[in-house]
Amino acid sequence: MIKNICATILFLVAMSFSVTFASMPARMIDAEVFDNSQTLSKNEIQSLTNKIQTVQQKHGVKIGIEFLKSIGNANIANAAHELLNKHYDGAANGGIIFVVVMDSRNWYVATDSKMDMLIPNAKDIGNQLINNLRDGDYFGACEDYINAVDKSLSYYEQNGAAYNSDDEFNIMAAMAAVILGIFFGVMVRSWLIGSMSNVHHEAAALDYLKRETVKFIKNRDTYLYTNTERRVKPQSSGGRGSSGGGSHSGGGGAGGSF
Amino acid sequence: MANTSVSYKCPNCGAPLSFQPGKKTVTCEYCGTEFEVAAIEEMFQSQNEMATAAAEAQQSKWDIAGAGENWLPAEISNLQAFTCSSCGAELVCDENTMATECVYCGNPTMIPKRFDGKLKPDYVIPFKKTKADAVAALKNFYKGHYLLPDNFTANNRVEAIQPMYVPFWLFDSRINSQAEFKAKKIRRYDSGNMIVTETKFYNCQRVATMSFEKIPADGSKKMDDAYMESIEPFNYSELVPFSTAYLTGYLADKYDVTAEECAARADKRVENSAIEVLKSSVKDFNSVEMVNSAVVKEVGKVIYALVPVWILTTRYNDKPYTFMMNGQTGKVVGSLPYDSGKAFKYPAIAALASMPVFYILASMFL
Repeated sequence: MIKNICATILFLVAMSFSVTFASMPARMIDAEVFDNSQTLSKNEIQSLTNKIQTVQQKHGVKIGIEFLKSIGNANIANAAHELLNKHYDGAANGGIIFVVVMDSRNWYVATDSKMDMLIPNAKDIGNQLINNLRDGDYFGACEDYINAVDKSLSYYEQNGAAYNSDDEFNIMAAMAAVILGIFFGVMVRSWLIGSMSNVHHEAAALDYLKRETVKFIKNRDTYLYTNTERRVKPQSSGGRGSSGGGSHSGGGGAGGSF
Repeated sequence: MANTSVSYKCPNCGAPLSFQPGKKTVTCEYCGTEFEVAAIEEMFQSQNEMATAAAEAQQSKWDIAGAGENWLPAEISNLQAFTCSSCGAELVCDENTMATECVYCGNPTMIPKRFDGKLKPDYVIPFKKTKADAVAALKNFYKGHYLLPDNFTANNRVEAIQPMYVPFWLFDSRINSQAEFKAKKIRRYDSGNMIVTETKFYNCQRVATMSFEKIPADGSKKMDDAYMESIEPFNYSELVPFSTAYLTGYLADKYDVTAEECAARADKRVENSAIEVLKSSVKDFNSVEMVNSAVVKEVGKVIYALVPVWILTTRYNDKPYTFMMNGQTGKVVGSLPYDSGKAFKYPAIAALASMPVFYILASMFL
């Protein structure tokens, strides 16, 4: 009897493992692009793989892209770093991975400790791919990601310092600054000219009110109606993440929803 | 010819008497004798009565046809001549002058006819600030005005400084005020992937009674209402029953704008204040907007008072600039000229200096 029960339990455990693995397509060891959500076509995967390999050779790094159907309740940052350590480790100049989870529509770019020196602001990479990701152009987003990584690494090699988008001149911000500056100047001018005179008509006579004589006879607030407005929350593009678990200590990352 | 004016002279030495700001007595600047206000009043009462009678007699004989051809009848009616009791010179002043100074001998002179009967003020706030205080306050007033032309202060010379008692009507009123407000309470919260803004509307009704005491309104056409309202407030605890003794050594005018004419200004201020009081009682809302209001005056009382004002005149680029100082509190009001170059330079510096800050802030969002 006991033997039968044990056999049944072992059978069920074996079945559950087989179901889990069966749901995950077999992945090639060290594949640069992995897609278990069938988001990318074979040609797109091949094209991205070729492009990644070129960049990897050029900079001595490992670059990965993973499209996952679901990670359940797991934290995407932890999952991304786990995948990075497992499949994209060992390159001379570090590794980086772009993870997209399709059911929760979340994305994350994780870097290991070496790559974090070269690309300390993973948010910059994210900013360059988020638009295509939101538009549903996943292949375009992956290309943007590879290009952004290539650009950042080339920048580091040429300048000896990490690329930071904040250092780039932002023409829109400059125009806004000029307009706001002029507006501020006009405000200052009007304040300065206004301060040259303190002559004005007195509109009230509160200085002469005998406060103790104020007596309220009626003081009633009546509720009338309620207006309710609903609007969709703006999507966040995410922020720089920090290593939270031991599996990815020293690395960095950034992510968000799309 | 009987004197139509009275010079307040020291009974001890004959020198002109003048009321010293901040003191409760009238002092002779020459021999130093001090007189109680009541004593001065009594001393010159008979002279005042005689001067009044003489002025009335002279007025009855006023012949505008005999005036110079170039004067218009309206101008003539505004001018009246009195004789200085000190040197006998003719004092020509407008129809509102109550106290002045003889332009020939500098003697402080009263025109008692001008504060007869109903024209007599009920109260006076005596001068507390001296001429030196006024000059110092004006210089202090120039400070901190970044656009003031450099040569305005460098070449500045006060052309005229005149201490003047200005006629004011002080309005007391008890009012019944009511107002209706539309108020909003706004609450924002997240619900799933939505942001919900909930606005609750309320009707708020307020009815209250309140009293205002001595709202001032100047009764002089000569004085700019905006200037007179700007030198407020006055400390009414220093209000004293009127006596001509306080006027010695100062200019003083009687009112030429009646209390009825001034009442609208006071009423408007009362109405605005009452609404402000009612509105301030509508609390705990995100926004409050008045829908309608009504203010009904239940009791209204007016008194006539003279308040002290220093009038200072200066000139810059051939343009006169007038400043006024509250002779009781020392508050200076006026409009200063500004340097067009500085009015461009300083804002330009501020604009340029602010641009990097705005750039950094804008970079965060764009």
